[in-house]
Amino acid sequence: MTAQIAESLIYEGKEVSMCSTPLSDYFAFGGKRPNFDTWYCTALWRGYTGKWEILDGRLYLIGLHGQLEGGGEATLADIFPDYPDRVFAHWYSGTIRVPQGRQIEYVHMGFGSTYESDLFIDLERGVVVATKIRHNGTVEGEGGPEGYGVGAMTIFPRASRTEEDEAK
Amino acid sequence: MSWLDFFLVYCGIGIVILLVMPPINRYLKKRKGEDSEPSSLRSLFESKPTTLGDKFIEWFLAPFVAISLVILGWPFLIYFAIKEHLYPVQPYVEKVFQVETEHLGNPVEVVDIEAKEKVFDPLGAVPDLPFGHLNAAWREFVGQMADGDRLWTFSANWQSDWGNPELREGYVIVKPDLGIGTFFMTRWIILDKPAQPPEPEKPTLSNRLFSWLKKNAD
Repeated sequence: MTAQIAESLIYEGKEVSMCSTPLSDYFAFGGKRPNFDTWYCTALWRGYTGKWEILDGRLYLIGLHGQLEGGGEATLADIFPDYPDRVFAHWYSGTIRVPQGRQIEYVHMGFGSTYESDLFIDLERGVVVATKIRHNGTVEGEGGPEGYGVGAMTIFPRASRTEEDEAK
Repeated sequence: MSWLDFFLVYCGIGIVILLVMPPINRYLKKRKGEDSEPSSLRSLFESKPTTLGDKFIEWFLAPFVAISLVILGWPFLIYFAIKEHLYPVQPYVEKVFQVETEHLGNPVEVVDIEAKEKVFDPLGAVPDLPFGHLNAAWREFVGQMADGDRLWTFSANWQSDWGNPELREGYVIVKPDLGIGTFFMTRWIILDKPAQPPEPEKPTLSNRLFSWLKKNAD
């Protein structure tokens, strides 16, 4: 498994990385899931990255980037045709994690890396009900890059896979 | 007998095993009704090497290494063959979440649920319907109800084979004979794992190697 690319979140006016995937709950609850191409990048097994915003204490999905199996670009309109710009994430209850500061330990799996602190935002049906910060430690000296990142990934070019498919 | 004689006898047994292994393997697989080679492996053998380097690897190096391994390591093959025969590996079946009787809450009416589950958003980023963006999924779920079926709430603490414990809630169809049908999930919370006493750190070579692999594996 490879460390996974984070979702993007606009929180208090700043764009940060979010190590949670609320859209996967939408699909688990029966929402229509487009056929994302989940094989083109080992750091993106879910096949898409979502752009989110917390505005007035509510979680919104405001963008989506991904590739479809047929080769087209996936957008928000592929999932929510009548709401192509902003979708209220009313289905989501749980905690989203926003890593902050420098990296303490890199784990090449999921969202497993540890950062100096984590901002946890608790939501109930898409509405923020609590926030808390957990301090995980401090990076001394030079070590540890700032902000969330993926150390390595393998990208499979679409052209070569298409040739393989045609050969079959 | 000298060491060389022992070595030659050892290699001779390896050569015999190398020769009899493929037909025995094919016979056993055929008897079990399994294909003798997985399709991915077969396609590998059927592929035609194009470059000189690929030809060297595929036609010389790979067979040489494979044959050498069998001739020199045949006791391991025998050991694993016996082990597989005596203790066949059971196929892994992942646990799938299902609503059980103990998870049931109260019977509820569709109209009451639909009134309760309407979603409002001041920015209008959700349809004014029961379950908002999930309205189509809800309608599909309710459409599966037959005469006499009732809807019940459910709440289940559940533990998958891996990962953290979970809380799952929603609505489920209960049949007239109290059989449990399909469910519609509205809440899925990943809970914290119960606290475990920390294990003492063991700075062994295998620990360090595992840590290195964990960091570098792709």
